[in-house]
Amino acid sequence: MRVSSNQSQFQSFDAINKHQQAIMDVQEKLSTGKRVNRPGDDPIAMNQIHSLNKSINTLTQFEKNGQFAKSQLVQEETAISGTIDGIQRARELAILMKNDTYGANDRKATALEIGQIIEQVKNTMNYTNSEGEKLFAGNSVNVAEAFVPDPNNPGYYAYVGSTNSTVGAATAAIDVQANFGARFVQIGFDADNQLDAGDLGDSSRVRITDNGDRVFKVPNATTQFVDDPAGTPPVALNPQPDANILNILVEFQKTLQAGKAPADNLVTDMDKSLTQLADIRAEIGGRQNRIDAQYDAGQTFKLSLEERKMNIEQMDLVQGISTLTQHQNALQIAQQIFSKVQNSSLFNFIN
Amino acid sequence: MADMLTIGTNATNTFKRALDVTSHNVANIGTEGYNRQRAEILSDAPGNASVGFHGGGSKIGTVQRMYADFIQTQLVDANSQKSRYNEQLSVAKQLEGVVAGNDAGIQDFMQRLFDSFHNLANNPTSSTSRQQVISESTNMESMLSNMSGVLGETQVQTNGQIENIVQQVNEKLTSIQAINKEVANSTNYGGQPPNDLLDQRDEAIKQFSGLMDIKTFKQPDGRIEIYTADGRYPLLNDNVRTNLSASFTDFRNEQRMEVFIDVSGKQKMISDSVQGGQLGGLLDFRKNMLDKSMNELGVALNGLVASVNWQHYQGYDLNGNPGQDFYQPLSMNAMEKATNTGAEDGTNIKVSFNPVYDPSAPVQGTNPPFDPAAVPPAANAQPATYGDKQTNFQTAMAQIGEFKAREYELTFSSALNGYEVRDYRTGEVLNDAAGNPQFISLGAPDNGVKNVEGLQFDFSAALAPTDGDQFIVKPHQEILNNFKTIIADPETLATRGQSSQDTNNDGLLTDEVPTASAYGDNVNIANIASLQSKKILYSDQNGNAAETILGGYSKMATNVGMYVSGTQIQLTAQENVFNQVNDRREAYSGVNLDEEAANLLRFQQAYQASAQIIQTSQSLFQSLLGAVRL
Repeated sequence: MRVSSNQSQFQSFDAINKHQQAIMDVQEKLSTGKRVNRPGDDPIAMNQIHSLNKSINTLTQFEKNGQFAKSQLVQEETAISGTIDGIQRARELAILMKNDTYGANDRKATALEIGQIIEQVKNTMNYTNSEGEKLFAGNSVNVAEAFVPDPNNPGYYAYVGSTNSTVGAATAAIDVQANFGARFVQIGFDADNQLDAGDLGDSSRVRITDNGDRVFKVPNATTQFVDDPAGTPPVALNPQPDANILNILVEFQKTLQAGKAPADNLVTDMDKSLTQLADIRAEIGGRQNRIDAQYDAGQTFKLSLEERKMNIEQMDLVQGISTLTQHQNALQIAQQIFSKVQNSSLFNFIN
Repeated sequence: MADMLTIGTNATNTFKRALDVTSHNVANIGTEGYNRQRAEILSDAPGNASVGFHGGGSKIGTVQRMYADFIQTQLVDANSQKSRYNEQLSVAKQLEGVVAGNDAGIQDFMQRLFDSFHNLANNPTSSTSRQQVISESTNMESMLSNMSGVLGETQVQTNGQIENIVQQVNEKLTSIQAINKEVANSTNYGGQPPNDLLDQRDEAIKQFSGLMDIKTFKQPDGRIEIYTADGRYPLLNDNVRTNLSASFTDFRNEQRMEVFIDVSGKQKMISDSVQGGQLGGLLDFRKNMLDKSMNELGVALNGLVASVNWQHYQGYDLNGNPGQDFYQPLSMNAMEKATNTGAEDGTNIKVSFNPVYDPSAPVQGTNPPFDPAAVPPAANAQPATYGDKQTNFQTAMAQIGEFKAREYELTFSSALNGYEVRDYRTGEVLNDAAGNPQFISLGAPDNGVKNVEGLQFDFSAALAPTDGDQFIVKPHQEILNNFKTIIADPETLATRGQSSQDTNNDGLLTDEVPTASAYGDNVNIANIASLQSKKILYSDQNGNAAETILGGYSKMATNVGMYVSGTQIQLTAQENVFNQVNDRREAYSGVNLDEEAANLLRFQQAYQASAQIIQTSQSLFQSLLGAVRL
């Protein structure tokens, strides 16, 4: 076959050009450290990188959510612990005051201390967090108080969501929404990406608001609230105030103020409240544990995602450098060949 | 009868010519498209001598151009393809650069938007978190408008490029026409082929093929005719030139440059006939990459706008009012064709995302955003029950899944009293889920309003069209220009969901009247945050969505990448083909300097020998004179 003089020139130049392009390519990948710098480098990998990035970043957000939820739950836990301390002191006093060695004056004096405990418990039950939200008003976080003075029964307190919180048209309507605490914080991927109304939550989320009625209620309370413990006989209030621990303490105080020994019912109700609060505290602890467990799981998951992303996206340096050297050598050879071939011409030998 | 002197003189002439041809070859080693020439030396006609025939020396028969027609044709085709993919790759890389440059930003900002939804879900009453949602949304908006801006710019730039290339096509055509004329003249009068003129023409045609793909036919008089590659439109016929022109399509305001040819006085669009050359590459890029990317990005954005808006409608803001528009909802008009004769100019044809509302038979609660002041059964009042509200929402989400990255062409048929719906790019009639052609009847049953691929086409306010009137709609490009966060007051972010209260204690909330949940509720904003991970786009036939919103975006990015890498592979292949054909041409027609050097020596020696013949003849004559001298 004939060979034209231009051909060898083209070929040499083509080779040089090819190697230069390859070097440019490796150079970019090496200097960015990434194998995929633009969609065309590996379109499928691009798609995977996008979804991996999304998962990794979303997991980070879930971690932040978990931290936030935890800080809320710690506040709730602290508030409940404070209440437990108060009730325990009140219970000790109740047992003490049952003793006949204490007279009416002693009891009246103790009523003053109970008054302080009532203030403390009432305060924690109306606890407000840094955002100005009530901790124990369910989702009605914006109410002034979670436990309002009972308009039907002066001196007692009613939860904002309870029927006792209102009387007739003169006072505000019952805040039924306070009976639901539907604030759930997402701490993991959700199967259906949907949170339903109805205060049920789902497994990917943790509840951070509670309604005070549930927390501070005395389950199966036996105390009967009366208008005047000193009365003969005392008349039961109608309607009865909410059976919450605050009202039990108020009843206890009223009994003491009347100079009477507290009934057994009061002590057992305080016991029941303590059990209830301890249960709630355990439940809150459980939620915190869930957050921790979810965090650990998230970390492991994230690690494997990162690793996968690295495999897809990152440049293998060793391979990259050897490819670079390879192309550099090839380029040098091509350049030398070019000068060699261009030097050989028959014209050099004529004359 | 030739004598020695004549033979010698002829021979020196012959070899002088041969040396000329050799020099011409050497001189043109660097000339693009030059085919080497060879002097064809013939022995001169023998004369009848008294004793047998004896030759009359040598002469140059012709100067032959070493040229193979079939190689040149292949070369022209290969060049056309090579230059197509070259151009395609260079514009595609430009767009890819835009995508790559904004990629990290878009992922980042989208993540931040949804993170801000999550933060607000954690803390729905915090005004800081509320404000953050709005700022993040505005940030993402500017990030995306940056990208869609560049895409729009690329459209304009492509228009300009098409115009430019068409102009070059016409110029090249003019010069080929001129050479053609000269070739015909030379062939008619000279008898000998005008080698260098032919080279020039071949080179001009090759360059022309770099602009667009063509077919050439040689005529007996040496002229060449040029047709478009599919052979349908003559560009140079009987040496009469048909100019191409670049102008906007017939659809007003579409501002899309296409290539037209003048066929017996009528402008005919031939963009689809151009498959090669720079023009072919550019048109392919626009069709399969630019338009596609814009429409796919638009689907992702339309999905984001519609899903966030509809989820937002489901909830209630801090004041207990129903959620309003978060993003500006899609609402656009059609573009009319300039040749339409009906009264409707497209501005009364409305296309929007309105999945459950039928204006001709309004149903309570089907036309959100809900107005708290609206009196049932107004369509923009809350639905009768929470269950209805949820059902409508599910329908809306399902409709989002129907979005296709498409542009629509609507053609009015007076016989059927309605509009046919076609894909504007391919011209195919679209089918509904049942496989029947999509058709929007102006009378019953549609009354001029129908949902097609998730979008509501509303002709109820349109003026009378005439048969064959056409309109086009590009809903997914529209959203690129009108993607806007319109919620401004942080208080109006609908974080709260449906009340958890079950008034009739039947264990179901679906029969409740839609009511706001408490102030601190986060159900609705948690659901908006969840839209990030929810697959809502590109449903299959069973209604299972395949992509998340970010997935919709990465689908676009992936397709951009595929197009670039596909083009790259094509280019490499076509370059190889071109090189191979070029090698063949070079092997046959290229100049080899060593060969010319050898020829130079050969003809020089022959010339010297011929000169010696003259010398000898001279000395013979001298001898004769000397013999008779006294």
